[in-house]
Amino acid sequence: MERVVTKRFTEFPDDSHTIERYLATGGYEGLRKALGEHTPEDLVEMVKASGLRGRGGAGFPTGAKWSFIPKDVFPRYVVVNDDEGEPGTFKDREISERDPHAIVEGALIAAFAIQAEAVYIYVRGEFNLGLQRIDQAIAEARARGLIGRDIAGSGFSCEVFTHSGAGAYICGEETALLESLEGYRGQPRLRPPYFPAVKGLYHKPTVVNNVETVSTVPHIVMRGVDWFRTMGTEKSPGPKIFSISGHVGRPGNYELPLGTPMSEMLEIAGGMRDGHSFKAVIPGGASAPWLDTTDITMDFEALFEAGSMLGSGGVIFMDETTCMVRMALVTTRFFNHESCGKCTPCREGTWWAVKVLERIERGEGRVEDVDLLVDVCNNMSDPGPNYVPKGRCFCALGDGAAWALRSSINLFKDEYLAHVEGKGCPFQGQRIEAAV
Amino acid sequence: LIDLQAAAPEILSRYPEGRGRSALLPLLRLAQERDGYLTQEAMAEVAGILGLTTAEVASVATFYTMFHLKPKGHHVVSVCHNLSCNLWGAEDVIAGLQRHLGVECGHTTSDGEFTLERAECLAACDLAPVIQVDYDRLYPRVDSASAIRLLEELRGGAPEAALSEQVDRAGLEADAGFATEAALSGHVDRAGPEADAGRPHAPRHFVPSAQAHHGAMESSGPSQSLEATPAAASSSLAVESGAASSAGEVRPEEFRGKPRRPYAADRLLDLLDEEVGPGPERPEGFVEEEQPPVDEPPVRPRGAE
Repeated sequence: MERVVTKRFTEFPDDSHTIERYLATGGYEGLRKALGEHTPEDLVEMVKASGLRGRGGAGFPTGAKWSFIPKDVFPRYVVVNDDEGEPGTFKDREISERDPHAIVEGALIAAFAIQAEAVYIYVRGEFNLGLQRIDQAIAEARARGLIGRDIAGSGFSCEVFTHSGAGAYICGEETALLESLEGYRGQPRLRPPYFPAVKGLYHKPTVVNNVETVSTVPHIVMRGVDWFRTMGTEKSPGPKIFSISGHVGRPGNYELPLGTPMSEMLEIAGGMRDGHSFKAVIPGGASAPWLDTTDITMDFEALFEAGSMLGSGGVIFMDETTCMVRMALVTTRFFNHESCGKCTPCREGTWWAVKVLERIERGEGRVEDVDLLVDVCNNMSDPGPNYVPKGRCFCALGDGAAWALRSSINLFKDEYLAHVEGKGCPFQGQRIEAAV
Repeated sequence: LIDLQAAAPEILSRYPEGRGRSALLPLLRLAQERDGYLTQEAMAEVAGILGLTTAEVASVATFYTMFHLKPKGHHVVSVCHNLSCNLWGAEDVIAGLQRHLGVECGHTTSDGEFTLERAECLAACDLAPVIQVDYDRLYPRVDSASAIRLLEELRGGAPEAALSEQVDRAGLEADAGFATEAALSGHVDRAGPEADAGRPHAPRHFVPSAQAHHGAMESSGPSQSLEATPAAASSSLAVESGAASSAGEVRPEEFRGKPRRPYAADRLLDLLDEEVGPGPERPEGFVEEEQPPVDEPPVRPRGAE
């Protein structure tokens, strides 16, 4: 497959973020075409027809999100979610640093499609270079009349601003992000309304889209729905950036069509590191339930069928030296740290799960601790066959914590029991090797 | 010097009329940049600018991990300890730095030079394990030895100049976030299927920027002398839980780890207000009945029951 979103910065790594390079490689043509040849309704229909699904984690159809904007309620806003924090995912940082104009252009097209008056790009607090690059891109675009009043002579006016976070994973959750953007603690809002399209930023109609999602939009406008659908699967069309890391030979961002077999993906990323074999994989960021096979295609439906999820596309491979209890502890410790404290199951559940996991890893665990962990998980998230948030927590963070932990127990219960029976981690020896 | 009052109008202009509270995070970031951490006075100043109470500002400041309410070191060193970094030995890096600096994570060295922190995923998993300095520059593929060397360079002062020089040179043109050309080009190459197969996960070691910059590469490439010592390597997650207290026993207060976050009840009430509206208009001349003063209940000494 040809590169789409990553094309510019792999071909011109030195200056892909400058407006000169961006314009020389077809930049802002999508925006000009959208403004000149399409009505807002056209664009919503086009993105709907393309089947583009959100690249941030939930995979919700982008066009549908745009179409939920109520009629006659103004002002409206577009918010770009650049608060990438899902462990194992590093695509949005790369786009922010290397192709910031793509974010600006895509966001402006979205803004025109829903007739928004302003775009806010919420950049993760730790992305200092990314923030500088996006700010620079905004200034360059504004200087060329592509932001502000009467964009490119079309009569459409829109402002673009960055807004920097300050360190909180939960602000990747769209309603928490909006709270943070309004100057509050980043805690999720009560649903319904289910979509910020109805009541979003400042309680006005708002579309919140991921960085990779908006960066894909200009290509759809330029090259059309049919072209977009030549890649990927029927229900998950288009290219997707997979962030591949862990025990592989060549970790990195790889742009591949949705539906690529995971075994092929592993090969592309250099296979497992020399002399080691595959043990488990986290297919879609830390929230995604683990798998112990690579015999699956990487698209939304196949992973859902397998009881996991594509999530944000952060794929972490682990080899046979990896202690699964330790990885479950690292994951759960993360969710505990990032729990916003608003709802009890998540705040207390992750806290207790960490304590129990630490005890098992230290060799002080009891046999019944394993069932206790499952019980804690089930109180955070319904133990259904497929992984959709079932509403035991206020938002999906608690679900993600439970999914990851429960899947590690389902797949590697023997390892948990080995920790208990052996009164310690059986991977002590290999851990040194794994670390160096 | 940063002047919050002077910076405020531009920041406020990014948000709609009456939505000035959105400027809270940007102003707090500026205040922290100015003072090194968020002082009570700075929070009061920001509160004054935005028409909030200091308590409202503090409630937000305490939520976000990048805001420091206590003085921090000259450099904040954040070591990612999440999944991919853990797989490549982040705990060894943390243990090595803790031993070298003589402080636990979350604390500042006595000379005020470094605040050492554990960081959650820094979105650089392909460069694991990764260190971020001052929430800005990323240093890829460190081990405990190269991380210690990086800190010593930062401590010296001169290398920091080299670092900023590098940032200047690269400016926003090249990838200032990454310290080595080798790592940079490796990073670019790996962005696609046709990646350079001849460079399997190399270099494994961080090359100090000053040396890279001045061309002294021979001493900074992967070498046996940089391997983590067995002592450094044998440490593990136990550092955080068990080994923290000398007796090896975990005290309850350490169990808690971090202060629990209180509810944002006030915000919830705000939302409800907006939902149901402000209520009926008061008739003109309506005077709120004065509440009789409530006596504070006497504080009963502990154990009096």
